[in-house]
Amino acid sequence: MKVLGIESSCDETAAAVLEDGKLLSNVILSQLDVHRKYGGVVPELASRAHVQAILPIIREALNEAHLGREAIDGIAVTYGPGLIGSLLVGLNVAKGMAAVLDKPLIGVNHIEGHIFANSLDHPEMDLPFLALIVSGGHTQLVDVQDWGKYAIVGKTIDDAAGEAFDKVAKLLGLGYPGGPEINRLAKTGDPDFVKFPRAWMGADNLNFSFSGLKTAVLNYVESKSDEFKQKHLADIAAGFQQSVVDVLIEKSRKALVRLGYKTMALAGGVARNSALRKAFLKMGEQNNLTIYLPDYDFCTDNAAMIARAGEFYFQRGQTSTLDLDADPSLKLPANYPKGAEA
Amino acid sequence: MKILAIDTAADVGSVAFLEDHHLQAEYRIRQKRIQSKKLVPVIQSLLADLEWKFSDLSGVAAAIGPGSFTGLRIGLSVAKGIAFAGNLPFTSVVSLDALALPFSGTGGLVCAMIRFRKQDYYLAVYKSNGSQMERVSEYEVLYLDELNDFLPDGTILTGDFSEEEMSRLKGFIRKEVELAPPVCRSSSALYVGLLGIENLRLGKIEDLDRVVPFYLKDFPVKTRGKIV
Repeated sequence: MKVLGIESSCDETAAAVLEDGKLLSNVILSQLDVHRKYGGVVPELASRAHVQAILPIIREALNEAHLGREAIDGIAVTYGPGLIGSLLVGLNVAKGMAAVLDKPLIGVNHIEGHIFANSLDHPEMDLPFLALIVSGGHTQLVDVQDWGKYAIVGKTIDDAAGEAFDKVAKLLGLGYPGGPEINRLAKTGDPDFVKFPRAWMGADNLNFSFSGLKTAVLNYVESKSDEFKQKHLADIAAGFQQSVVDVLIEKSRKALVRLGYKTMALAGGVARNSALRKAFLKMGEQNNLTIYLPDYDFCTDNAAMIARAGEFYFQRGQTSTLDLDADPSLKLPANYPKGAEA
Repeated sequence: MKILAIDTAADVGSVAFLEDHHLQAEYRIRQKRIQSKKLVPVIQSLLADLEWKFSDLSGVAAAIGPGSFTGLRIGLSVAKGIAFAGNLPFTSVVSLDALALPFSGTGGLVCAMIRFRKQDYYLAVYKSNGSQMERVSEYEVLYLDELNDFLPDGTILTGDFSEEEMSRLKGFIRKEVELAPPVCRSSSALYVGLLGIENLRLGKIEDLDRVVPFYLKDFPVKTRGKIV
């Protein structure tokens, strides 16, 4: 079974072809250059870039897979959550293609796609497990009871972790996107040089808050001379990063204890952060846990994960009708989607 | 020649199937919110009613703008998906040209308008040469107040507006203009199709991969001085 995956929910235009769990192609066009000068994703510009990129990217994914368009058995496409204007491009191209090719359309939840990213490299991963989704738009701890059956056990009450990275990078005068910049700089810094606050919000609370941390960094930086800042830029970046990592680790550990799980998976763009990956592997070793880390290419937005999730639902016979609409605030399905029985 | 035409440039979403210059089926609805949801199912249903298949088509035409940014992207994305999957030639039609088309038989000047924002309009002026409309101005985005300098006397104003908006427009204009009667004012994928068929016949086929909406306006990005 060959599934074409299409992803256009934010600032990456992506297409991939998956055949029975095996990735035949995975093409991603990032719009970083479009948004860099604004220090963040500009929705209208993102939508414009998607319209321009979508067909060349799909064509390339099919070419790399050595497949004609009619050889595809189904089309999986992100229909939410994300930026509405961006979602509409990929979704409507997919719907048009599905109609003409007379092949099933499978609407995929972008967040669920991120969780499925782990199964691209580890198709036999054990269920249930705890997933930590950390990206520029999301920070969630998800109880993955089964594929398609989720419960959110913790989430951010303000900024997403990746958003905090971007904002702190901006106030430190680093480049965009901030995550990789801080990660790179922090490698040469001392994470104990300055101890920024950790938002625990009570011993049993599994929610996150990164807004106060960002303000703490801002206040710290504003209280120092430019000379001091330049000298200790790496230390400040490391201190900030350590605060984020500590909170993500500790809340994940607590969630695992609460759920009684021994397995956890990371997902989302921030899962590329080397300090975070290292810390999770260490926690796994110390507590005898299985930790899944997605391949770097599958952390940030991609269509391979969308094709993988689509393939799962397609195999179950759960496909979408062509009146599927984009839903910018789509929730993770608490139960099997589209009304099926658990 | 059988073609599919799509128009989602303004408030009305519309799909038409034409055979040569002859309308075979059409769907039109003044409901922007459902365009993304309904466009593909409506295309399928009209095609089925006609007992046609996608493989019977010789091309796809879509209104490329100017108009609603989101609407244009929905229509163009569907057109791209269909033309790509069906390996069909694609041609684009400027939405204002389509609005002016019903006036081909008249002698005078016609100004076709599409609302951009509350007080701003996309527009262009056309002159009929008896059978075809010839555009005699640039495509413009103008503020209501600027219309008076722009419009020649004796122009017929057309646009898919309510009676209320038409009279409001007229109230702003100090030139001698005429309002087009409602029967000629509706936007329709039929007009996009008629112009699209001409394009396809003349070999005006666009690079499907590269074609983007004709936004006419650059998008001004407002940056906040500091992060919040």
